[in-house]
Amino acid sequence: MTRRKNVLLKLILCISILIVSVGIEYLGFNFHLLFQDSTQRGVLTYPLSQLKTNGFAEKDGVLEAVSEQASIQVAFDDMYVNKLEYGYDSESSFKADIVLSTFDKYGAPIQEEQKDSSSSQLNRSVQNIRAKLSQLEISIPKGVKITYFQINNQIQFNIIRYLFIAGFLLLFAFLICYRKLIAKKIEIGFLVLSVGVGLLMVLVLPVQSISWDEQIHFTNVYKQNFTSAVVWTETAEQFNLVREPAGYSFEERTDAMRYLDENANYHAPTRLEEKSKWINYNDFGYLVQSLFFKAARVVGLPFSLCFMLGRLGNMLCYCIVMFFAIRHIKIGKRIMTVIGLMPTPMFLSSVYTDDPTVTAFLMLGFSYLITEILEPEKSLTFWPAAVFVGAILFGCFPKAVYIPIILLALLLPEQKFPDKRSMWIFKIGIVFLFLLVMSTFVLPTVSNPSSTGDLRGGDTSESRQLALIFGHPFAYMQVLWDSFRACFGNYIIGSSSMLHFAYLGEAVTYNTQIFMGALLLFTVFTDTCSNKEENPIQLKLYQKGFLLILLVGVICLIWTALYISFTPVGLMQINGVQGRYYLPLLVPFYFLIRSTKIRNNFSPEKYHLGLLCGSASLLFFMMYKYIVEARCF
Amino acid sequence: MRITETFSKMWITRTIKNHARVILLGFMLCSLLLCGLSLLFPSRVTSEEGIIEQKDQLVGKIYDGIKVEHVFQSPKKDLKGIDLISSTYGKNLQEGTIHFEIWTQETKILDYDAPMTQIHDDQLVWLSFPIQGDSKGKEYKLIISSSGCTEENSVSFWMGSKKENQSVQTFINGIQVNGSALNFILVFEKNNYKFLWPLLLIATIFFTLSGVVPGKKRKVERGSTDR
Repeated sequence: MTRRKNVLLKLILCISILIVSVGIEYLGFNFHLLFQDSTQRGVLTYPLSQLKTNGFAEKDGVLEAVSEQASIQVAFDDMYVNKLEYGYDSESSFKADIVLSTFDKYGAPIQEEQKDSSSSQLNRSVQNIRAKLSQLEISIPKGVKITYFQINNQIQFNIIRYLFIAGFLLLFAFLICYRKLIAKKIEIGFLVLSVGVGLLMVLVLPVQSISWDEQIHFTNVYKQNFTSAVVWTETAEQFNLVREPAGYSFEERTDAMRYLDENANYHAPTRLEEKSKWINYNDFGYLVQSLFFKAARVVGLPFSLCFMLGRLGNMLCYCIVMFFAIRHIKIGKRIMTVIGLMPTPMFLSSVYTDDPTVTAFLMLGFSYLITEILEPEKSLTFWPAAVFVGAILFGCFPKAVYIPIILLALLLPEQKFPDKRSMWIFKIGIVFLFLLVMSTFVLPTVSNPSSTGDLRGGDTSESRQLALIFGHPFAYMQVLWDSFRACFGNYIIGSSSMLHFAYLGEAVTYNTQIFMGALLLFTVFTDTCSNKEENPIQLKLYQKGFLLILLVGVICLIWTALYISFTPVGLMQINGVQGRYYLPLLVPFYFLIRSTKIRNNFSPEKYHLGLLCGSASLLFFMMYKYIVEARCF
Repeated sequence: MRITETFSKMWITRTIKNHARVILLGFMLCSLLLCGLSLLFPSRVTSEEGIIEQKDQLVGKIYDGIKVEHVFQSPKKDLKGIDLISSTYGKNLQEGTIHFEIWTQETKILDYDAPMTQIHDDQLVWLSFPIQGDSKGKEYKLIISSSGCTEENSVSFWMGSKKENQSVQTFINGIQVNGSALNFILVFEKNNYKFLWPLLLIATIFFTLSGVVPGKKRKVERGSTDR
């Protein structure tokens, strides 16, 4: 009876949240329009002939910008303007400058400027204004034709915004309702929160390349989902060349998706490309993404949905693998949870990239390995060994520089093996695996360096850079140290690795950074909550020392790889290293400073709830500010 | 039926457990055998190497009476062809032929007439010849001339600045072009051992895991956590 009552109460709570969300969306986001004079509501169309223009010529019912700074001015009687909408016809994408004459909080007149980007593939621009205006002036580049001009003051029910609000409230309600379960199993909290936020992220992110090299990763996924010949459609070509239309408002986003769907005709391809049936091991990181994309394509879903489902596959793979990593690890569950839920890794899991595969599988391998190291009295059996060896290798296929992590297995003590001979077989095997993976990027570079590196970096040359390093090893070590030192804080506990949404923006404000830093450090220093016994489990000093050496080794490999391939020859700094490269190293790094000396007397219920709510707040804040508000209004 | 199934399962499980190390080492040996086979019978693929990276000027109009000579050294063995980047000055070319010859110090390895109508703007012109097994370090000379071409109906090829240490020289009617050379891509044939590394990796994984196979009784007494 009580159980049934509980279920009923939770159901009522869910329905209430869904209803409240309707209220918030309808009342909260349309507040100004609801109390607006009825004559100023709805769609207000301005006939082109009656607009005050400068530098335009009217021809066949359209206005064509004939001078470099053609502009349209519209005066308002202190009217609230929700959206500016105009139709256009342009051969190339363009940016319009909008100057708004509005009022500050004290009612004094001020001017604000906005940029409005429009894609050549679309034919209308919808710009969010959301301010009381006395005048609006828009400057259009020469050659663009304006087909209509209107103010959209319609009361809008934005489904994306609604799902975001409902998702936010439902996830917080889940955390509170199931706090007892989460107190025992924080990994369940991680799974629900990460999948919930990931689903929202996939939904709200625009169907466009918005992350680091996403066009390259998408192209690889797209190629992988064909068996022998890649069918290049107009839409896929546009993604390949980063020419896909961009949407900056709900309407533009819908238009862009419609355009992409209409031009993804697999029966009328632009070209066919032969491809090998074998999948290169470097591309294993795309397997789940291409599987989801292919499933959606085979079923016949529109391109934009296939695109979103490919992202969804990546996100689910990340969340599930991280869930098993957190579930298995003996210590540091909360550190892994909080880092796994940071905005950047969650964002990366929801776009096309192989970074989440690297991070999640390395975490899984690390989790099994650390657990074995911390339980010296338990024999090492086949399956845990197979999981950590397999997971670390799989994680290193896309980015081999992380392979030194596998050497942690050398710390496994003799008593974990059936006999001394078995231990030597295992450890020699580990060293060979390390050397084999290292050989994939060290051997080609050293034995046959290319005369050019990555051309995006400028005057790069692998051979000349290597000659410089070998000729001046100490000077290079200084360059390496200076570059490493300059970025260390930002990459370990800064916005570059935790609060970065690639081309959508980076949270550089102190408030967000301090909140994130405080949450992370608090977790690192208090992650001993359930260790009530006298001698809580902890890595020994020599184990930490070895882990530190391996981490330094990986970091040196990352910086050196980019110095050789991406930095102009002889430059006194290293270019191209980004915070996200440190993500797989953060959990091992924080294990170095994790201490059992600080006793945590919080109840697990409150502690886990606090950590998950903190992580969720950070995620939702970042999503709202950089995605929902910027792209979905 | 059910009892038989259970028995069979148990028997299989027991056999696998008892012979796990042998099975793993067997897999390892199979992988090593395949490694050996892939080493003995590699597949052949082409590889390209650009010598001049830039593409910043044209060699000039090539018509009757103009002869372009290009001398280069092959950095690798098994040279099988050259790609040149053509320019037609944006025009559709009419009649006439472009004549390509490639010489080693002793012999002519290519003699090819390309109709002008088949040459298009900013496209690769592929010159293929028998694989040169001893091409590493060897000097080659490419000669480009024309017949039936006029100044208005002429073709050109892209050049780029060359670095000081590059052993390439381009001559127009016997006069050397300073600082620049014809932009060309050398195409080689090479052995491809694409299965070697994955097979070696698989063999090493089997070898590594054979150290922790189930069913082995530990000989050493269990130690304490603090050891």
